Amino acid sequence: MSAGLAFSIAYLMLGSFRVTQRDYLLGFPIGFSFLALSYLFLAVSAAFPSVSEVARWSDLFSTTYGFAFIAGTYFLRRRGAAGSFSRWLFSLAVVAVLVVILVEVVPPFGALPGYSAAAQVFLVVNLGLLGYIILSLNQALRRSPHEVNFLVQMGFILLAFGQYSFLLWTLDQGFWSFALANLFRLAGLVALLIEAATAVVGVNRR
Amino acid sequence: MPRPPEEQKRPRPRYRPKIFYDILCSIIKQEESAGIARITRVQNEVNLPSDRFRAHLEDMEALGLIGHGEGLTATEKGRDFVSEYEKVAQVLRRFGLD
Repeated sequence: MSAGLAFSIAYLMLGSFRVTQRDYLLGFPIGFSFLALSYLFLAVSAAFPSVSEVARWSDLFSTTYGFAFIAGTYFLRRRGAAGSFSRWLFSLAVVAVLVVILVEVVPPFGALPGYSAAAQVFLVVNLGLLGYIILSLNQALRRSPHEVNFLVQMGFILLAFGQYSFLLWTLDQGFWSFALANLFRLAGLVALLIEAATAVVGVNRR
Repeated sequence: MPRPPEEQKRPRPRYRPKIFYDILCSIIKQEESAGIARITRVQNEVNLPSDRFRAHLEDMEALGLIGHGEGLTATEKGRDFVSEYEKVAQVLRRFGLD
């Protein structure tokens, strides 16, 4: 369900790139596609124990890439990006290097860390990226209070709560932290999809 | 060191689709108010140098967004483009990305 919601948001945001041709906007559909993939990997890891390890690691990477692309979109927007595809590639390379450093260098002697330890690092990075997105939205909201929608900010705040609950779950493996993480994630995606979809329908009704 | 005010207020460069949108809006507005959209008035409204404006008009005509007779006319495809652009601009504004 989360994957469907994220793919729908990606599809709606792809339209914005197609029409405006601002290359930094590609980050949104790419980011939400990565998030959708990560939710699929999560489902695969639960449904097929034989590929659970690979699916769980893929989930970690794709979630962080997803949030990195979305945060990158806000970063390039704030910098007034024009013709910034090379900057996109640069940003992607920086994120890739950071991920490799986090996974390979930080744990002792280049060995792959245990899943749980790595998941905690990735979730903290995700929270940092979401913090940046929420901060950017807050600034945009203050700049144009009648245009930027509070529900969008709420959506990303709920996604951040979801990541935080997942972080708690990696520590306590409790039912409630896992259930809340899924609920927050779902609520956040629903809020974002509602906003993206009502904007389209609202203009159609004019 | 703080940047001079004129540099801070310098508008961002417009992307081609935004220029197309501005031209089409100006044409539609003039068609509705005066019945005909004059090239010079549209050019003044969208604030573009003559050579770039003419180049954009040629591109838009080739894409079937406008017609060029006695004055300028927005085609059905052009009006669809305006409606599509407004939807997208609305989504982007809501997401703090415009």
